[in-house]
Amino acid sequence: MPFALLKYGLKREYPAERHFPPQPELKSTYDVVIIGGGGHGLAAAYYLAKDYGITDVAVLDKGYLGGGNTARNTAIIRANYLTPEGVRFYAESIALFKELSQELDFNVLYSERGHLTLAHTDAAVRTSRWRAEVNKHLGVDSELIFPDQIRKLVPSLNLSEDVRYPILGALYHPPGAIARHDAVAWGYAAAAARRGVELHQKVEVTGVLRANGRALGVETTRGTVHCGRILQAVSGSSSLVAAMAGFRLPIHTVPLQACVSQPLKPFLDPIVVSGSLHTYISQSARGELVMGGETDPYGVYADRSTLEFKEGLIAHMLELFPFLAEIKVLRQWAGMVDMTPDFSPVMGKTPVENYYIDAGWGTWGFKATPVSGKRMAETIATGRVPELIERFRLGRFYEFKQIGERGAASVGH
Amino acid sequence: MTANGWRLPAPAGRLLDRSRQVAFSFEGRGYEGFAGDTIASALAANGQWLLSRSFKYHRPRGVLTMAGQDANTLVQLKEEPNVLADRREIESGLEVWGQNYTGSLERDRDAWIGRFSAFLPVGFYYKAFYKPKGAWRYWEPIIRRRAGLGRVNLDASPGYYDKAYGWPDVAVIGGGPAGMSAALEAAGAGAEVILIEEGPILGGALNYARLAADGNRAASLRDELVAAVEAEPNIQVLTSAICQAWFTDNWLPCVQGNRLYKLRAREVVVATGSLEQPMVFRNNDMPGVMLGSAAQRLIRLYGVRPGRRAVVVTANGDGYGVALDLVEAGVEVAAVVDLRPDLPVCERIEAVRGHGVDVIPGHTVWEGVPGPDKRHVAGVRVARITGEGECADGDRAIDCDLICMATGYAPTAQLLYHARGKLAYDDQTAMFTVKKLPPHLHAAGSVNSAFYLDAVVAEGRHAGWAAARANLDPTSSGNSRLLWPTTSGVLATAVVVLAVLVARTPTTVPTVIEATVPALEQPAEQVVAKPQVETLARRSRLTFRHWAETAPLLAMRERALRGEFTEPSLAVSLTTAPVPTTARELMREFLPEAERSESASPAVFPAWPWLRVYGRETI
Amino acid sequence: MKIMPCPLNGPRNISEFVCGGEVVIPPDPARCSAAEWADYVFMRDNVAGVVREWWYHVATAYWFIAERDTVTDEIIRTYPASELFSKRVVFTAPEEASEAGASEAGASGGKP
Repeated sequence: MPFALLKYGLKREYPAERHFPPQPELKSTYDVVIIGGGGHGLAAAYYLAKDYGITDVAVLDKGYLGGGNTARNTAIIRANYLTPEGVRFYAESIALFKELSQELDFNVLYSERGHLTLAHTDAAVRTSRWRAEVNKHLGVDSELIFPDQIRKLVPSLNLSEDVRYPILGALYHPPGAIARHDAVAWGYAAAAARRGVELHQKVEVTGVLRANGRALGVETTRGTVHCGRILQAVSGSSSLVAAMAGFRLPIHTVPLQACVSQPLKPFLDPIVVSGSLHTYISQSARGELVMGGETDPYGVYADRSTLEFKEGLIAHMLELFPFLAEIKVLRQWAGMVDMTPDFSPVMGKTPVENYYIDAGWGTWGFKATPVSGKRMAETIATGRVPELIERFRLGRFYEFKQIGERGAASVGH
Repeated sequence: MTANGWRLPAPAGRLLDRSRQVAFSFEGRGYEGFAGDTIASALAANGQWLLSRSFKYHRPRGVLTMAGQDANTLVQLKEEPNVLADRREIESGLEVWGQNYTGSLERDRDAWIGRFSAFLPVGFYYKAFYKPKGAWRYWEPIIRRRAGLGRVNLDASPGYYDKAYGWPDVAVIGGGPAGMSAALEAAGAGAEVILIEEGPILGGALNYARLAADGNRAASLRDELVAAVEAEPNIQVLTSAICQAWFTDNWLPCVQGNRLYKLRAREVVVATGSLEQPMVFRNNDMPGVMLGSAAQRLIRLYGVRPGRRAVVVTANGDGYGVALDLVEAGVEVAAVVDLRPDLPVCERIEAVRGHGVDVIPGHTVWEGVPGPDKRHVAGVRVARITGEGECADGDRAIDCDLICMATGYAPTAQLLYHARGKLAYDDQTAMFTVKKLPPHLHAAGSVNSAFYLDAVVAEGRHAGWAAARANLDPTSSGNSRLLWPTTSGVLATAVVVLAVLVARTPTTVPTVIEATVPALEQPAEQVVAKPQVETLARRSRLTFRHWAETAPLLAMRERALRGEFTEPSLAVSLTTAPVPTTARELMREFLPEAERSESASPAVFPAWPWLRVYGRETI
Repeated sequence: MKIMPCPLNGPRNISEFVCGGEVVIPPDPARCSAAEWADYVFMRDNVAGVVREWWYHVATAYWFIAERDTVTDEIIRTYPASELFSKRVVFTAPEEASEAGASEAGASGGKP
């Protein structure tokens, strides 16, 4: 037990603990403005300050820190993607995640649980093998396993052949993990603030100041801010903010829903995903079953839930775990996700000079939080796009060089 | 079973069938209850108040709401974890276990954690367990083992479940006075109505609350409304059914037993009532500390005496109703602690004093004192309130085994939130009040801040009428919410006359005056509801008069209480107005007037301060 | 579940329909640059507000147009495609078109 807690407990009056310094007045000029105070934006701010000594940074959020998709995702971290671009990128993210609690001096409750992607068809088995080979080639631990091995990892899973979609095999990815999503945002925010980054909540960007193809600053609900460089990291509003900067994105914004059960004594260790059934499940540190599925069939900018999602998700879940029939769902919610045509992010430079983008995070954003922050910080600080994220450039669509990441969540295989 | 003194004789225990005894077990020990008992009530009738252990500190927990609204009563069944003991009925042979303990429920070996609570503040784990490097790998499995409450039975086989569909014209959620009134009104206007009630019988608060000093009004109104609902062929009643959510376009999943009803309603009336809120003080989670309404539910619904010697802490008239109910149930009421320094004149307070109960104004409960076994409350320390948010040290100790908290309500507004209704905290009524509702959704009763029984009924009827009307007239926006005019006759008349003058519709003036002038001759409390109820009853003639009585007052109240006027309120007035072409202009002209009047209000509207006490002290 | 007022079938559950995306007039593939084509294929306005979209009723294989508000999730109006498209568009695809497009893409440098 750390000394700080002991000291805290022995105090006669409990001090009100502050994770963050009080919000300062918004200045009229910054070196860098980051639009969006979610995990990605905060991580970028942190690495700008830490790796490059750039501390004259303001993170602006129209709501509160980590209140968008950082608060709504299902906190799964993995690198078992299908494309070499994806695998390399997410493998670096896992490496950063593993050290994150130490790095930020904040326990993000990173929990390596192992990750199983079930294959119910021959085609899915083939894809799993393909993914396993790509992964192994790039040094990521993944392998194709079969029902007897699956049974050892998840004894409660229904491996009967007498079901509609029998489980034929699974892609097993031991480094698959979950983490406390809020803690990731708070940890980055607090660590960035300690280094002098300013965090501004309830400040909405209403326009981007430009001249001669260069970004000069932003208009906000608290006045105009001039700055040298701008990073846009606003999942769920990417097209809208990009439109302020004058360019379009290959993004379609749709709700993605999830739900959790009441807390239960732990019985499910790994994360279990079924692409064919469009469903995934893990058990959180609180004992809640965290369940998700596919994105909504049509786009809205409203984080409303639907009965159809819940019904479909649970019906499929009961095929995998029939004994869950008597378990109650505690909450259901939605976030807005920016889907791209090739299920890969859009990162790096934009048609507007000094305006950088970190978008298109669809259903795969949380797991990329550290790496996208680190690499976007590098891009902003050096002006050079690192090789690791170069392939995710916006320009790939104009070159017809999409990535085709079918290892993404909520994507049919 | 009454031998141990916890079970009360009939007529207490409305839900019990005393002719049928049911044997079940809890923690391996056999108990008996009556058919209709919940697990919690049957155990309470046997003196077993400890039901579960809390998540983090393994503190003892017992009955809090008796309404399925708290996690204190989660228990384990063989095939089902996390069952609400205060909602689940006992069955013969049912095996019930407590949850989240090591050893036994009575002597939980993990209760030691509570002693270290000072060192484990909220979120302590974010600052612990990760140093030195690698420590987390050691700690994580230990912490993970402590997660969760109930245990999943991995061998459970799914039971039988099915689905049914319904297409009612009007779905009314909540079978209390507002809901039943709404259903009756809508059905009477020709709509096909489905009435969804969470409890096993209709009646809502009328089944357990004491709404007046003599305690008879609720029962008679209940019988009257239930008989009318049962006689109405256009109403289908679903009891023990929970409307789980509101989804787009009034798509309502309702669970009744093992059946999921999916209802597509043209109009929805949300009459879900309100829930009493716990009060914050030390040890407020001990068994023996419960809501006032929970004590009333135990007495009236389940025939269980909630304690032997009680202290009631309150800030409204309902707390005195609780005290009266306790006295009648044979509980010694040691004191009523009232947060308010100055008590209003109220017949319930007088009745409580009449029983020789010590009423202590201007005080609060400082802490609950646990008994020697630390498993039940044994006393209370009361402190004088010395300023806002401050009180003297606990200067008075009172022995008791029951603390009833009756300090305020929150609307059961989940469905309204689902539907993107807007609620905001209102200082005047000290609760969240509805500010905006989407089309085809109506709110009535205490979920809409109406607590006065006449107002609740009238509001229900209005909502039912508006829903039926919207259903019959597809061009209507169908949005209606009657903010009940909580004003005296003087104000009502002044506003209506003002509105009519502005409207310059002389033909209707006599009608309006006729409707409101009699109000002047009555005491303030009755003025609130009576003429409107009479008017509403004649639904065929719900015309300008109805609108004139409600809409301007509604706007006034909005304006005056919140300092702003919202567009949806205008929509309300338009739907109920038969003169829509002029109504908008009328309201526009009217509002600046209202604003000016507000600043000069004491002179112009002498009854204004009365608003503050509406719905609480006056009951 | 949301209800979609289909111009052909009347109000039906929205699960019977498939959203076909924004109504975008395609550039003439024979004449447009690769960048214009990429813009048409990939880039979206993705408006928060009223959008005009193609919708398809699966059971009756019927395409129509819906105007809806993506912020409030309200369907404002639906109507047959003939309201917007009264003439048949015939795309000619001569062989040289693809080469011309490729060279233009190189020249425009992929800027939107």
